[in-house]
Amino acid sequence: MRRIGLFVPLIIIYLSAALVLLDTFTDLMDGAAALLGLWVSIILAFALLLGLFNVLRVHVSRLTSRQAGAGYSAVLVGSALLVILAGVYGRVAGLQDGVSNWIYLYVYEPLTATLFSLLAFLMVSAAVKALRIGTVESSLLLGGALLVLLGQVALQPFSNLNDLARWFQMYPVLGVLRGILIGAALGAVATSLRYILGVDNRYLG
Amino acid sequence: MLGLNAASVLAIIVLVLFVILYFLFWSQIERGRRINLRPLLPLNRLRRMVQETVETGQKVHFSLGNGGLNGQAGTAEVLSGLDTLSSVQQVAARTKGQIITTTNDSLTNLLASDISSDEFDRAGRSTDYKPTETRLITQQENIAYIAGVGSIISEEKVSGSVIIGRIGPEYLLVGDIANRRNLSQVVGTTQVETMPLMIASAGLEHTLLGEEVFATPAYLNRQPSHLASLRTQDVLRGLIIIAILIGVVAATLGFNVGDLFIR
Repeated sequence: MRRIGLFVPLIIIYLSAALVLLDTFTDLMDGAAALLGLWVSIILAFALLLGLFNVLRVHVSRLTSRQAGAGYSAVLVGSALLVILAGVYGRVAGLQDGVSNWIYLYVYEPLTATLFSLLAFLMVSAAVKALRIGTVESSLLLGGALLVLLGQVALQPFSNLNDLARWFQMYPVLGVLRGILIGAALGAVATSLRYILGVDNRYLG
Repeated sequence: MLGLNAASVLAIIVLVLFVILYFLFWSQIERGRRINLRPLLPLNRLRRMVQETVETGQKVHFSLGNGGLNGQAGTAEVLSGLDTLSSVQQVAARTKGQIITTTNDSLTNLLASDISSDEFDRAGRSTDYKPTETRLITQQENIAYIAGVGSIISEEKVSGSVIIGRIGPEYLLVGDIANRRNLSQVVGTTQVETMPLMIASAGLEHTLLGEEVFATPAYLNRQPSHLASLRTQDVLRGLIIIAILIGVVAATLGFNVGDLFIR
């Protein structure tokens, strides 16, 4: 019975894969991939609704069981409802997305920028931790980082390191980088092909 | 007539070769051919972390990274991550461990929830699976997602954090919290700019780099279909090395073969 249950979804997978491959490599199926992408977007809209229920379920259960940090859950649920209401109000009042865009631009973006700006300090903290560990790899990592950083300084005597830092980035680093990228790309191709061929089909239940 | 160019033909040849080699190696492994895998230390730690949740009574956080399934970058990483999640949940279901899975994409969240509940069903513990342990944090908002993950690992009873997938430098926000709380970490990314940050924060022996992220499911479940894809990747890598060497020799001799590889 499970085999029959798998048969129909697998046929759909094979057909979709064939359409996308034909669209990518030939002129035969122009726009087929874009159309399939549009269908995925429609499914995504429903998945988003389910996702919202998931978020509410998790945080309302935290609120009702009075777990640690339940106050944050209250703020999260309140903010989510506020943004949804702002979006609906904006549409009804003829402001389109003006209200929700305002929230995004003046509340959300400054918050994310603030969090992102912390990364500089966290990088220094991680570098200090790596230095304390004192393994050969971490020492090499920090030595390389230091060389490139000092190579950017315009003042003497550090500017002498400029050429060395550039050589370091252009040859050893770029070579390793491309090696990693080629390996990762092969892994991505292998994973995708396993799904396209229906070999990995656990998501079908 | 078909609009094929040299790059497309080459890509099709590589894909066909990949499929042929894949099925060839799969049948060889099914017939008993052994595949030697080099040890990946982070995965030993991952297994230990999941098994130890029973003793500590704490949970392990599992993240699929920032990728999504709606055409965003990182789709392959998410698919590989779902396979890894399946193996991790299998161990958790058998050993009565507990995993909190977080996602940054609603489609990924649906699949992660489905796969997790499936593993508990197979282990005969369907009633023990809690749907609230698979959580959508954000919809493709990388910084907000990491902030949400940071809040989970700092507030809940979590003994370790696993982040394997596509993730940018924002990982450090979680890495720092994990270090301050002395949590075990297993991390992995395909993003080259994040790799040094992960090594500095979690340590080299706990970090999966590049292709190791995609190799993880094969290491954990040892299924012939996954091992065959590792073997195929190795053969293709060898062919790419040969192609690069031929390119170097040809370029040295004054022949321009680079255009063949550029679309």
